[in-house]
Amino acid sequence: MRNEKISEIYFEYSDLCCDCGGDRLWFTVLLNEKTRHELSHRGDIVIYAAIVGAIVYGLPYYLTKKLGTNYPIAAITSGSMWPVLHIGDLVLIQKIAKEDIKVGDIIVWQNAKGLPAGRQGFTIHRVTKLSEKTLVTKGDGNFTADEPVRYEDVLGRTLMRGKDPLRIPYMGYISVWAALLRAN
Amino acid sequence: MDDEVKQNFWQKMKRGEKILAVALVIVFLFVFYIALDANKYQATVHVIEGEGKVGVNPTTERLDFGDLSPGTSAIRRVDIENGTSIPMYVAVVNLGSINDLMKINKSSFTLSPDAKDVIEFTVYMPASAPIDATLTGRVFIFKIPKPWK
Repeated sequence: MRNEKISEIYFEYSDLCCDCGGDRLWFTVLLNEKTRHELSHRGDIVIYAAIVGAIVYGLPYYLTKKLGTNYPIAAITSGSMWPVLHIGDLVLIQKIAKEDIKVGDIIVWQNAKGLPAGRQGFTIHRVTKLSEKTLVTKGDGNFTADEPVRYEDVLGRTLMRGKDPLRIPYMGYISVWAALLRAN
Repeated sequence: MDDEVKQNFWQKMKRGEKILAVALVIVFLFVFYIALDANKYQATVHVIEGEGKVGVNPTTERLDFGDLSPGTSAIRRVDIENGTSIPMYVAVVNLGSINDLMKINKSSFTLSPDAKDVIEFTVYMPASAPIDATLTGRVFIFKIPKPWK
């Protein structure tokens, strides 16, 4: 029975090691095959880790450089911009100079109101009025405008695709759930 | 002939494959039962022009929020009862265009045996709602047996 197995493997892998024979060949070939499998698996793991690393760290880094802002991605966590932006959407933010901001732009600004010290909040609303030192925004779904925002608090403008902001539906739900968990 | 093929197919399967096949069938039946047993409601709301206007369409078969003008809201309630002797995990899933405007007071909770609870659905019409539009959706209330704590 054992000899059958050896000869079977011997013929199967004879091209790998044709100088040896018998039991020794069997163990040698088996070890080589096992090592080859392990190396193959390790190679796969390295490739997967590289892909995940590129997505998790590389993509935000690339977007930060490309869009010129430290906050290139934002998740929509409220319905104040409905129906243009939906809860769970992911939008891309690009840096914008003060002189390029226009009425009608959807901008992101830093909003620390009502948040504990050290925590950052962001508001994504549409610009309704521009003045020398501040601007005023309002959510499309809201009836009242926000408090005036200083230009230095503006982080950027949503990246547009035609007339509408470029949005990736459902991809922002991770942030929505994280916000819900924090609130609970 | 078919029986013979089936028998051969089953006999040809390894023990592990048989266990996996049985487990998959049980999981499928479990999911099928939960989907079949779920409470399903159609949700709808109609946007009307004006300020503070609300029209009500009383019905128990649908979650009909009636006619709402921007700035107004309507609430619909669903009573849920666990008539079994094991706790049930209740999960509410809503889909459709009404989804963005609908808030649910509790989207998942555990209902003890013989206990009752109320799920509250609120639709608020924002300023940007398109006049004369009808927003619809589906609401599913899944009840999953939860014998563990």
